[in-house]
Amino acid sequence: MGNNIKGKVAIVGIGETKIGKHPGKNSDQLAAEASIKAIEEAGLSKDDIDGVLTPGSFEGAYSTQSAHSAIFAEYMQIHPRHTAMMRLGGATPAAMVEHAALAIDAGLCNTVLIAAGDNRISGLSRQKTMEIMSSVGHPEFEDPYGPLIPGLYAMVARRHMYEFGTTSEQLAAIAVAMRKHASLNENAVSRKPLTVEEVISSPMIARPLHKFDCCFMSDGGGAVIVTASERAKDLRKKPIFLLGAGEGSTHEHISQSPSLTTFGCKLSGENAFRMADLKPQDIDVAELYDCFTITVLIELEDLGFCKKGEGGAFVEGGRIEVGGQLPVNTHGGLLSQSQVGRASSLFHVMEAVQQLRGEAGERQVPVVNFALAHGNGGILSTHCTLIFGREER
Amino acid sequence: MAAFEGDVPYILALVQLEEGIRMMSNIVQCRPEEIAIGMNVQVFFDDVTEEITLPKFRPWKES
Repeated sequence: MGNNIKGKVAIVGIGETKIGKHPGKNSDQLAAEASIKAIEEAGLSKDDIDGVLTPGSFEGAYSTQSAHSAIFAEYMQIHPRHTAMMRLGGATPAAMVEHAALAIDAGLCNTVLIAAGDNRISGLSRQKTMEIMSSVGHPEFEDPYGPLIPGLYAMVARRHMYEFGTTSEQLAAIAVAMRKHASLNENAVSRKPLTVEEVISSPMIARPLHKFDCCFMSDGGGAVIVTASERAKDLRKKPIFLLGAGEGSTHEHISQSPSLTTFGCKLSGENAFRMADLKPQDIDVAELYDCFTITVLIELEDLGFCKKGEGGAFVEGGRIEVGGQLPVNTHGGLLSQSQVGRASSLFHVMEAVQQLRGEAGERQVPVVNFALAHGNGGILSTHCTLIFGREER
Repeated sequence: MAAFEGDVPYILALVQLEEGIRMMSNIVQCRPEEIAIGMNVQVFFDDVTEEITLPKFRPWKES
């Protein structure tokens, strides 16, 4: 691998809607609201945007519309030179940043709008949500046995406990840290402090995952603007440079995964760190996809922040809280800020940007030179790791 | 999902077959607390409808 995209592009604008309930707004309205904020923040106009990437949404017709990025560009009255709808589950927003870098570096476009909105609470019925949640397995070889998403992640948690002695209290420490960070974020939904005891005494969803080991859904939207580093320097906001990007996938269906404790995040992390020429210990803050507590534990290990099997001990003692060795999900993550459908890992990316700009307010980590954002999709199936820095290097 | 309502709590498992394949299935005919990773199970064929038969597993018992 010779040429790479290290330092070639930067994020120059971010925007997010209020996260919560937005009855009466569709997913595109939410994505547009965030996009307008991001474009304005960058000091650009919509006519400067010549690339549009979207993940679609879970809502109605859009859930199956393959040309969603064109629909959204039309809605925004943007006429892109490059556009794509990407579908890698929860890894999509992170992977769209990587894709934007490739497209810009290849000269296909100069300035890309990545926009995602979803209204899973207000736009979908409970019945529809349950249908989506219960159709993630293989239609012939898994779904007949009744797997729901929590049940599938529970298998990974149970295996981790079996192999390494990981405890429910250790998983709970992750939920507690996310909640503590959410309490410092005005745009988080669950902000009341949580204790380990409260997590492990919350209702069992799929053994060994309790209610507070699982994320919950809200409506919301987010957007980021990516442009070439050269152009970025002339814009309003301090550019946050993309230094490393990598993907990895070992399976789509968990029954076909070669391992139940190591996943594609190992490969995506290795690729991203190699490109950035950095090591895990160089990272000051990590924004890790957290659909469940076990997801964070697996990512911490596979990305190299601790050894395989030592994630349980690593997350204890406030080590992943602001003020600790490696603050994780300083915005509160999916576990406490909330899951916002296909926009989800975009909030991890935006928080990495906020932390690097030094604009994260009460939850700001004092010194942040390098931040990592990671998206995970399916049942630990698709992974994209991004490493950002304040300088081009 | 209503189809599974009467079965809750049901056991979802990955079963490693002696033939080398790993497959998802349900462990049935035992209580959840009797299940352990690594336990031996044996297949049986559950005619869930007239047209569909699913391989499921129950704890291994010497015959």
